[in-house]
Amino acid sequence: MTQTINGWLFDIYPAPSGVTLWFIDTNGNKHCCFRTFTPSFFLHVDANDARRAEVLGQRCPVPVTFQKTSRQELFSGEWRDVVQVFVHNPMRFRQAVIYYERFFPHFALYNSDIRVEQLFLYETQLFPLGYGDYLVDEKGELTGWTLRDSRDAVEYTLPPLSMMMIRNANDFVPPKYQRFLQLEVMYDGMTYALEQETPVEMLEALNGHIYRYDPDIILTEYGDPVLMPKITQMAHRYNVPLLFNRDLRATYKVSRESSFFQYGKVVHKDGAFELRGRWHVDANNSFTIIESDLEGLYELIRVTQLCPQHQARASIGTGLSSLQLSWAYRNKVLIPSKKREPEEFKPASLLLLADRGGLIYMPPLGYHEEVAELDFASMYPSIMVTQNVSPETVNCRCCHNSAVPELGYTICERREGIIPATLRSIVEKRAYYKQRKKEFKGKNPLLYNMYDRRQNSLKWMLVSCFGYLGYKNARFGRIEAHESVNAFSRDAILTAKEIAEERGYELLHAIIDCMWLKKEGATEQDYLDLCREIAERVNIQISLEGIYDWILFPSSKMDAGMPTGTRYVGWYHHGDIKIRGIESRRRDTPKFIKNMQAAMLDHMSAARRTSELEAIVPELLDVAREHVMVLRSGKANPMELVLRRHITKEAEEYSNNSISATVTQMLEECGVHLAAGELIEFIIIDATGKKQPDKAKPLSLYAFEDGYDIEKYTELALKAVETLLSPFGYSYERLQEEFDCTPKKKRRIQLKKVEPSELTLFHELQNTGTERA
Amino acid sequence: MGRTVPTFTNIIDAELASWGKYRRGLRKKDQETFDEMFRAAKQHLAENFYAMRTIPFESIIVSLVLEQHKRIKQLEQRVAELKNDANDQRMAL
Repeated sequence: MTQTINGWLFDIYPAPSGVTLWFIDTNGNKHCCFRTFTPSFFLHVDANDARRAEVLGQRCPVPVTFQKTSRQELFSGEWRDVVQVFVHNPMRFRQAVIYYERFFPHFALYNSDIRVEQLFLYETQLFPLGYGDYLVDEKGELTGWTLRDSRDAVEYTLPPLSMMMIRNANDFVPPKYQRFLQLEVMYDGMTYALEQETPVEMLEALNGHIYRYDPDIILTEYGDPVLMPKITQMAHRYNVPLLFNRDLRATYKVSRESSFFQYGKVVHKDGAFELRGRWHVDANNSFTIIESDLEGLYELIRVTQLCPQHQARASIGTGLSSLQLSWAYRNKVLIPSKKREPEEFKPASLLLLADRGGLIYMPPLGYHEEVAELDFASMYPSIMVTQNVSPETVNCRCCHNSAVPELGYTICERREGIIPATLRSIVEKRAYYKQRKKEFKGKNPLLYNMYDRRQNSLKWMLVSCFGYLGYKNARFGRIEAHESVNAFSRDAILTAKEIAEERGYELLHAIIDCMWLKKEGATEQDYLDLCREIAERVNIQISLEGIYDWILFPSSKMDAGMPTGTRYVGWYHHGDIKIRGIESRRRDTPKFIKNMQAAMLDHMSAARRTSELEAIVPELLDVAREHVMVLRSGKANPMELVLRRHITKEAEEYSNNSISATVTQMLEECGVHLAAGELIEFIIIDATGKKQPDKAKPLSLYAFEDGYDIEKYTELALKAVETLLSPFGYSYERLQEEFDCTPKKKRRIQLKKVEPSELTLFHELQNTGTERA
Repeated sequence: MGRTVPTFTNIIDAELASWGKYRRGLRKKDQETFDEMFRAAKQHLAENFYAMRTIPFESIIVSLVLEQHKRIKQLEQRVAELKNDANDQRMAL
């Protein structure tokens, strides 16, 4: 008898002769079923080698069968004869691929390094949390389905998912630094502490909670690196089978932690601990969760078709690749296992022109009033979609149109590229969510948050899609496409600048896709009209972010006379503040100093013009003084002085005596081993290292009697004050005198006077004139 | 990381560094003027970057001359203003 499940696809993972699927129906019941599936990869080889492949198949450790077929190659658009190799055990798909990689060069293999469950989803076009009617026969096999849902849908219903939180009760320090765990289980609005006497009782209690509540999602803090491995190890030792997996026959899927180099930084990623039939999500090991909560995760898995637990831990690029892979499957396009499109040869003069990013202007220093900010919405993705920029469309062989400004590259007019095709719906979806979010602002916080999280999760995909064009590991990447997008972006912002200047606006500042304009007496309507005109001309949506009462472009920390492109703070007319790059926004600023700067900024919110700001400078100094005095009295709460930093090396690799080295080595001595890229938290005890042998102490070893380095923290505080007040003449040195805390030795070179006043220059000019005469 | 062409800030810094000996020979007062001069090039980062001449020093020089010309115009304007003021005062007397 066939049964129809009216519900959502929840989980999927490979089984010995297919995939196991979990569904949740509209009543919240869970169904486990099975579907026979034979994953396959392709070999692009000549007839001789095709025969050889078949012969080799007899000795392959996994049973394989062959079929001749044809598929399209992306760059040339030509159809190629290929051999499709079916692997008759999904659990050992990888093994078969490795076997064939020994006999054929890597460029002969296609679609070979994709996870089996992904292959299944791409082939069937099912997706996690997709709603529909799923038919299951009496043996528990999925025989068919009718999807009543689409990946492009912007309004959708979700299954009633139950969630349990498992975490360490002592959250003062991360459990990585702790030898004993004190577990806490939270669900249904209740918190239970597991305080049993023996490990066996503790594990059984945990089992009891899981059995009683049967959660769909187990959310943990530090579950991947510590909690789950520790608990399962303990269960193994005391022989208590745990109920973590809903599928009791399956094993956990565990992967290793890694440290790698990314965007000029060493990054550490914890290993993964995935469950079967249930999701385990580590809130601390999930970019998606940190950025946009579970709501964002739901949105992403629907869009990208990635398995939920994989998506939760994946970087944004993985989701983007998945979109492209799915498109490739639908269109029978071969997916190379490694990127093989080399950069084209070009003259050095073109290379100089081509290898450049967006434009960044330098703003005029100090405070400015009545300034409007205009932002291009999703500029780079929009360019890719509207201009059809994609690896296979740039410099195609069929067209000659020199469409790319500055560089003269051609863009294909005959076919739509893979990037525009996959991005279009994302760009449209995000625009919709942003629209809805605006509608619900201040009216319905629940819906507002939901749409906000959804758009935020897509935002990160759009942010990274551009980098993926030029990334060396992206399968469908090509540097010329990357360069083209940049060239279009420079053209767009310059066109926008020209239009604005024609209309009498003054360009104060511009960064890649946003600009700051000023015009005496311009109203909001004037700016909206300008936006419309620009959007029409450059074909990218541009919107008025807001009009600032005042905005500050602080000076560079390296050179007091120079502004920096990316640091600013200002209060909008509509009562919001925008902070970029200054202390209160930076992660490496202690909370105490953030609070101080925030208090000052708060005080400044009432000022409408720069003259009003100047009038309240004494009050601002009082706010700062109050904080600095607390700091200097030694009574500041050390917990608010914690500094966070990512380490770049492991303890034994440090050769110098820096603060990071001291802290990492102290932790190492206590048996906590940190890999490169992990976060350390510490309090500075004596930055000079003269009075105390330890410059700083890690938070987990800190005791209140250790105190803190008053001079160092004062320095940090004064610099934060200087950022806001230096346009009013309060340099670091003057602040030191003002607050009466000049140290014996000077820490910084004297600030140079930026501009000699015009009058003195004039006199000098006169003097030299008379001398000559 | 991963760039073939250095950023223009890097180019300016490198150019400045290559003038290190010259700068060292200057008197302290002149050194300050020299630094201020190069700052002008950094203020025109976007333009320099957009043009991306094969010899970047050319566009650095143009930025310096531009800033200088701006300064001269400002001063000319100021002279004219002061002259007017002086005339007005004389008239008043």
